[in-house]
Amino acid sequence: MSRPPAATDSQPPRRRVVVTGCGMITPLGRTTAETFARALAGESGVGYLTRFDARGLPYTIGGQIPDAWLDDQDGGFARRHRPQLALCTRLLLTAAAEAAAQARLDALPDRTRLGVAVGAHGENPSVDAAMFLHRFTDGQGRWDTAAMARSGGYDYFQFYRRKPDLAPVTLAARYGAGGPNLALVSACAAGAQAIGEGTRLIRDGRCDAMLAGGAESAIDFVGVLGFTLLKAMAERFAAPERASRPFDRKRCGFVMSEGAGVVVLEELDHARARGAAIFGEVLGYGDSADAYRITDTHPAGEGAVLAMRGALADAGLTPEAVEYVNAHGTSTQQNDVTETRAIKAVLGDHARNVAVSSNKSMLGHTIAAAGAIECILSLEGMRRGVLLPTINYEFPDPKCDLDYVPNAARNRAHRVVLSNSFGFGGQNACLCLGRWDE
Amino acid sequence: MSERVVITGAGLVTALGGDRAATWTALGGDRSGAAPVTGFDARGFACRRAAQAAAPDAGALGVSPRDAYIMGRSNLWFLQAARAALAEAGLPAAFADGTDVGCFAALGMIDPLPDDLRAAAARSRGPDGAFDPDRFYADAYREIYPLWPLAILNNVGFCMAATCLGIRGENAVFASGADAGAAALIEAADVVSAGRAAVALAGGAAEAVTPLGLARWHRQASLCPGDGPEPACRPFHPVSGGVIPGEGAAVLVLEQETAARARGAKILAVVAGWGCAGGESAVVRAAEQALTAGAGGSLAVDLWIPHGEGATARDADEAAAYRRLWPRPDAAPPVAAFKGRLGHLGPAALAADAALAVEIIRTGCVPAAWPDGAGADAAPRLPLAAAGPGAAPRTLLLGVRGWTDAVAAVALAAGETS
Repeated sequence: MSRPPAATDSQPPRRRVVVTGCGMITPLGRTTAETFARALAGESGVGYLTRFDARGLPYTIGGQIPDAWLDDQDGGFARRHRPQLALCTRLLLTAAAEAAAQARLDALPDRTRLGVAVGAHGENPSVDAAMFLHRFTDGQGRWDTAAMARSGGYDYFQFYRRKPDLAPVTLAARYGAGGPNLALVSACAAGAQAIGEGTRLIRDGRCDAMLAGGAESAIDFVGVLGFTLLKAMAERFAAPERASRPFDRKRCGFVMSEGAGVVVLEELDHARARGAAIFGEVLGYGDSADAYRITDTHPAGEGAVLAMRGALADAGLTPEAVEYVNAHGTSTQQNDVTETRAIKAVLGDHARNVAVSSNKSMLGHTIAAAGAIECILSLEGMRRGVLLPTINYEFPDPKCDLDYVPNAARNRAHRVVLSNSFGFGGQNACLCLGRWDE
Repeated sequence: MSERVVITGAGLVTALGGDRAATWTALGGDRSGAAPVTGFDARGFACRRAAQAAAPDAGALGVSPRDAYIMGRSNLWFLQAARAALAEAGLPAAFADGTDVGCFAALGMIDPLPDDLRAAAARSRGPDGAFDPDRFYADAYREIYPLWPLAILNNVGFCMAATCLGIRGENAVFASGADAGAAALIEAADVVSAGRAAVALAGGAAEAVTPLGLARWHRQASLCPGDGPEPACRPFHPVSGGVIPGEGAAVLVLEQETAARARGAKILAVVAGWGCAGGESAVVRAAEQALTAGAGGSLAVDLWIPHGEGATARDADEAAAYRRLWPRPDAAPPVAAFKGRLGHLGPAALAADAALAVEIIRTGCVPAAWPDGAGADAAPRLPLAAAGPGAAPRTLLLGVRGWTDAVAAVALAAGETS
């Protein structure tokens, strides 16, 4: 049902970009099907932290992925390269294996026309590593680097695990992707930006297919400490699984989570020519910057408005075409109010007719992976004609007054979705996604 | 491309100067920015020299001490270069409504500095004076400055610059090597070409040289050993000593040519094409894409500015690619390289080369690849352009190669070329 901009005398028709493979690994499941099934049932993937000792921290919960779910789904590639791979890259490889298998990527003849775009931030520095370095400074800017070198130095592989660009490069190596390779570090907008940028690369004819998505694993002391110091996390809750409560009046912060989502994007004729199954279409992409404050979103959600309007304009659609918004919905006081305002500003009166829900109520916030995971869940929802719920919605907030699909999934056929991702620091991305009807 | 994209501003901060003019003047002489590392005792490292830029003046950039802490040196250089580029383009220092202004930034790794953790570490000491993890995790971590997490966000440089400059349009932040700088320039050009932004900033900032950063350089590059004054980084020299880390930033202002001319802006160069590739033959494929991407068929190249980092093996790869791209020696362009003078600027390298390409187009001069005439007795692997005036190249092909072997190329042409 897509409506790409019509061809003009001066420009050829725009190349259409479809999704031919989806993969994810989240705290709710090791595949798209598992995650979707549990989200459909309104389950939460959040529990008490076990990855590290969180005693002393006011924040003690998260959405963690069991180690047993990794390494066995990509032919052992991640296991063989484990020392230099950050956990987020291993998650990415797992998600990509599912997407690539679904898209039958191994049968793709020309890998020079296959690109990669990934939102990821690499591994956080560990406390041990930071304190190791601390031994060699005197606090006055003087370093005993000779002693540092004599000590055996810094963990060789941590250099690689910390580099954000290792994730897309590893993916390119795994699948022999010789096309463009983008590493995006746009915080919570990175996964959506990767899919948006990948879409543009295909539209522009710079490649025919892309592995695009995001991955994050920041559930470690430094990652959690960072957001704790910024007072952004949910520290008060009745039970871990009830802590992430987007748009609920008693929401008090986000829940850190981990995961990865990868889609195979493909130019429509290219997909058809090789008989690939098509799961949906990327109709449009918009992005913006708040240019407001590093710690706050614009109170009117101006950056979010720009991104959503940009996605609609790129898709050649009017606001009335939107039937569902997969919200950024972090469960922070600030985001959920400003996002509600922004949705109303973009959709006008039509906002009252549109369902809005937050996958983060079940998954927590997977940061750089969120945009990709939510893109896939949106596509899957369109395919199945169902809207995933916002769980833990108990106490309506008068400032958040839209239909948030509270607590239970809803059967409803829908064809156009806006999927929002708003990054910490003020980077915003929005994907306009379409159901695929042959 | 649907509309031609031009460069109307180019800001540059390097070890040789705080702006493009100063850097260009220094390049015209025989200076190298490489010098023994200052700011910390680097005696533990094999490579103890770098091309370090002067510390940015946050106050002069209108940045508060709090925000300067969040940004760090590297991101302040990015803002400094961006302000210079906007000024040259005749655009506002801060946009009142920047919804039509994009920004694509390539930023490097940000390291947590031990000084940021010092108070927490001190409070974590046990009775024997050693670091006690239990004390740290119990409550000593509370000594960490609450804004420290912002300072280690990968995208903080872009976010702060966008706030300072009022940029609200399309954007992305790429990490973390030289190929990231190419992604920034290419995506910015694409956004402007397609009309999704009236103006886009494209550029990057090199990582500041710190103990941890220099340790990482040693892991990912073949560095010049020692700290002597001799010019050891000589791209395409048969016995180049290796890579020299560089500091600084470069930012370009891109606009559609028709819009730029309509407002009377000076056209510094045309972005004539781009390409990127990975894997086998990536240098060749990226270059071929760049030279055929624009309208009007394949471009003839007057000057090639390849990645040329000074590491023998990687320079040799580019020399081989050169011979594949231009198999006839009589039709092959001369080569220029700046990393022997400015150090390796990482994510800022391509934008820096583009800023210097603007000067080459303007002046017709090509600076020497090696300072001090060093190694002049040795035959280079590639035909380096004769230093000084007279070359007058009109079409230049720029190339970069990331640590991970992702490669990109961008073709720039003189403004009057149609």
